[in-house]
Amino acid sequence: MASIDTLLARLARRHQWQRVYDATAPRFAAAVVMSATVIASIRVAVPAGEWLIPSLAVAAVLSPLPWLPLAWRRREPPAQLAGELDLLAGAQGLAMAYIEQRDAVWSAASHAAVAGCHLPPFRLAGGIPALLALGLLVGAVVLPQVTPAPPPEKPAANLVRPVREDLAQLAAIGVLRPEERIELEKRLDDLLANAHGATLDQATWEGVDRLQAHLDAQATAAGEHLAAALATAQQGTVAPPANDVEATALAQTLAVQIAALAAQAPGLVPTNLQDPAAQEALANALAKAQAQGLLSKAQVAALQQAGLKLGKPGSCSAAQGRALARSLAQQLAQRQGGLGQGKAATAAQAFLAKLNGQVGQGGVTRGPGSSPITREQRARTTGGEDAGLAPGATLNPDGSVTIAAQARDAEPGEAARQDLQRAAAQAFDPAAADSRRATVAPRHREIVESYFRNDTAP
Amino acid sequence: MLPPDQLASHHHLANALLASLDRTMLGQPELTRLVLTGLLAGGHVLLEGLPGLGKTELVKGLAAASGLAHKRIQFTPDLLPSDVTGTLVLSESATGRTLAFRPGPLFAQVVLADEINRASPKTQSALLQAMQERQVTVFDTTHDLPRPFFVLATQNPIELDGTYPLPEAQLDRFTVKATVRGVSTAVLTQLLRERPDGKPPAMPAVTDTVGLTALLLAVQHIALPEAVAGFIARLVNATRPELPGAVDAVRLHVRWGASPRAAIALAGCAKAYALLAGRPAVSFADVQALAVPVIAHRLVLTHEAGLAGTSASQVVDELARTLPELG
Repeated sequence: MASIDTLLARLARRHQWQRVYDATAPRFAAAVVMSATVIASIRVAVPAGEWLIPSLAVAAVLSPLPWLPLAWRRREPPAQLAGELDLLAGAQGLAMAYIEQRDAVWSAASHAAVAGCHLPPFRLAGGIPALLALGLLVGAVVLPQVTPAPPPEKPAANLVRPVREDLAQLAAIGVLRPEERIELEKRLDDLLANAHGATLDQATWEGVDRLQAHLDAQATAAGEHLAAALATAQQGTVAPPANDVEATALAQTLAVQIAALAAQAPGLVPTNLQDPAAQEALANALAKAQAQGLLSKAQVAALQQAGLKLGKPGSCSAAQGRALARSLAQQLAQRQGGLGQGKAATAAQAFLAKLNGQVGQGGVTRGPGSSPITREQRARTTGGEDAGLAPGATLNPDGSVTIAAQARDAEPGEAARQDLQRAAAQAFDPAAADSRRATVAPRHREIVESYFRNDTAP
Repeated sequence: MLPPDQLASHHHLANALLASLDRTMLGQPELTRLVLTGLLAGGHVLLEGLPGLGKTELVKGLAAASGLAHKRIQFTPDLLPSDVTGTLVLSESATGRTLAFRPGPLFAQVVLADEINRASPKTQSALLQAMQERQVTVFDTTHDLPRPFFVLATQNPIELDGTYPLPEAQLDRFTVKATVRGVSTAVLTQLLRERPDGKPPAMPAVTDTVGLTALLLAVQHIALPEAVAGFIARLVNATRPELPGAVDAVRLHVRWGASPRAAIALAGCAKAYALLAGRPAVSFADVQALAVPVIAHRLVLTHEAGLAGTSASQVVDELARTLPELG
C-alpha cells in the first residue's frame, strides 16, 4: 500500500510530465507543420534551397526544447496536490487535513482512505496532431527534389543539331582533321550563342547554311579524292604495269592522289599496307613526287601527320607496281566501304561512275565539287508531336480541323511576317548565294535532267 | 483535528439532536439537517415556506431538544424595536423611582421571529446588532444576550401585501436560508394517524446549554483544508459580477455578489455539516451541498434576471456545479 507521501510525489511527478507534454506537443506540432510546409515548397519549387531542408527539419523537431525547462520547473501548490489526491481517493477531506496537519491520531485512517487510489491517466490529447505533423514532415523530406529547369532551347538549336551530327559523322569516318573539327564545332557554338532567343535571325540561318555547305564540300572532295585513288589502283589491278616504266608512272600517279587524299582527309589514307614491297614502292613514289615538285608542303605535312613516311626517290619495278596497285585497291575499297551512306560515299560513287563511263546513265550531277541536286528539302527541324486540339479548335466531320473562324481575311502573324521578310532578303541578298545554291532547286529541273540523261543536246 | 473519540461523541450528540428534530418534523430530513447545520455553525436560520408547513413547530422542537430557553416574537406591522429589544421602564423601589431596563423577547437563547417580513424595516433593523454581535444597545447601555443565541426567522413568500422584504443587510446576517416544502402523501398519512391534534409529541431535551456549547466549540475544531478554503473563496468571489472572469450568468443576472461574511458562514456551515456526517475535516462536497442555502439569499439580482426568470438559487447552483474544486 503506497503511503500518502508516495502518492503525493507520484501525483506531482505525473503533473510535471503532463505539463511538459502539454507545453511541448502543440508547439511541436505547429512547428513541424510549418517546417513541413516550407520543406515541401522547397522540394517542389525551390531547387536552390535544398541545403536548408535538414536544418529546417531539425529545428522544427527541437523547437519545443526552450519550453521544456519552464514546464518542468513549475510546481503545483501542496494544498492543490492534497486536494486532488483527496478527490481521487474519495477521502472527503480527511486526506487533505492529514497532509496539512500531520495529526498522528488520524494517520492510519488517512492512509486507509487513500488506499487503492489510482492516479489519473496520462492525457495524450495533443499526440495525434503531433504524430500527423511528424508524418507530414517525413513526407515533405522524402519528396523528390525538383531539378532546375533547363533553359529553353533556342530555335537555332534545331537548325544547328543536324549540322553538328554531320560534323560528328564526318570526323568519325576520317573526312575531317581533328583540328578542323574543333574549329567547326567552335563556329557552331558561336553561332548558337549569338543567336537571338525567341526567333531565328538571318545571320544565324546563313551562318549555319555556310557551315553545312562547307561540310558537304569537304565530304564531297574527300569522297572524290578517295574515288580517284581507288579508280587508279583498280585500273592498275585490272591492267597491271607490264614494265618498270609503266609501274613507275602508276606509282607516281597513286602517290600524287594519296597525297591529295591525305591533305583532304587524312583519316582515309591507307598508312599500313600489308605488302612490304607495296609499302616501299609507295614511299619511294611519294619521295619522287616531292622531289619533282608535285606535292605541296601542306600535302607532305599531311602525309607525315597521317603516318606515311617518304622513301628514297627512285623507279618502281613492275612487281612493286602490281603489289602497290593491289594493296592500295584493297585498302581504299575498305575505306570507301567505311564511308557509309553519307555525302562522301555518294560523291565517291558518283566519281567512280563517272570514271567508269556511267555518266549520264542516271542521276543528276553538276560535276565534281558540287552537291547533288535532290528533290527533298533537308529536314532542319525536328518532327512535330501529336497533340490534342488547341483551345477553341473543332474537329470537322471530314477529319479536318477548324482552328478558328474569323470574318475578315487572314493576316500574317508577326512570326510569319518575319519569315517572309527573311525569305525575301535571302532570295535577293548576294551574300546569301551559298545557301541559296544549296537549298533552292532550279526551276527548269526537268530540262536539266533530260539533258544529262541523254548526254546529247535536246 | 478532533481526536476520533471526541469526534465520535460530538457526532453522537449532534445526531441525537437531528433525530429529535426529525421526529418533530416528519419527512423533512434535509430541512432538519440544514437547520441544525446553521445552528451548529453558530448562525441564524431563515425559514421560508407557506403557512402550515411546521416551521414554528420545528423551531420549538429545536429549542426543546437543545434544552435552550426560547421565545417567540410574532412580527406585525405595528411592532416596534423596543418591543423586541426591550426598553427602560419607570419602576418604584425602596430607593425611589428609577428607570430600569426591561429585556424584550430577544433575550432568549433561541428566538423565533415568526413572519419577520411583516414588521417594518425599522423593527427588522433592531435585530441587526443582536444577530451580528449578540448584544443589544438600549439608549446608552449595551446588554449582552444569553449564549448561545440563535435567531430562527420565518417568512411567507406569497403574501406581499403589508409585508416588508428583508433588507440586504438583514438577509446577509442569516447564515442559512432554508425553504420549507410540503411533505409526501405517505408522510402526510403518517402525520394524520400519529398526530390527530397536529401537535408533535413532547420531546425530551437531548442536551443542555453546556453540551450545546461544547458541540459548537467542537465544530470550530473541524479541519478546513486549504484547498477547500480556496474553493469556498473562489465560489463566493465567483458570484461577484465586477470581478474579471465572472461567468455570463453572473455578469448578466447578479447585481451584487456575496460578501466575505458569506464565505465565513459557508466555511462554518461546512464544518458543522462535516461534524454531522462524523468527519474530522470539511470536503468539497460539503461546500457544494451548502452553497445554495448559504449564499443564494445574499445575492441581489438584476432586473434582467427577473425578466429571464432566473433565481439566485439557480445561479449559485450552477456555479457550485461547474466551478472546479481545484483552481
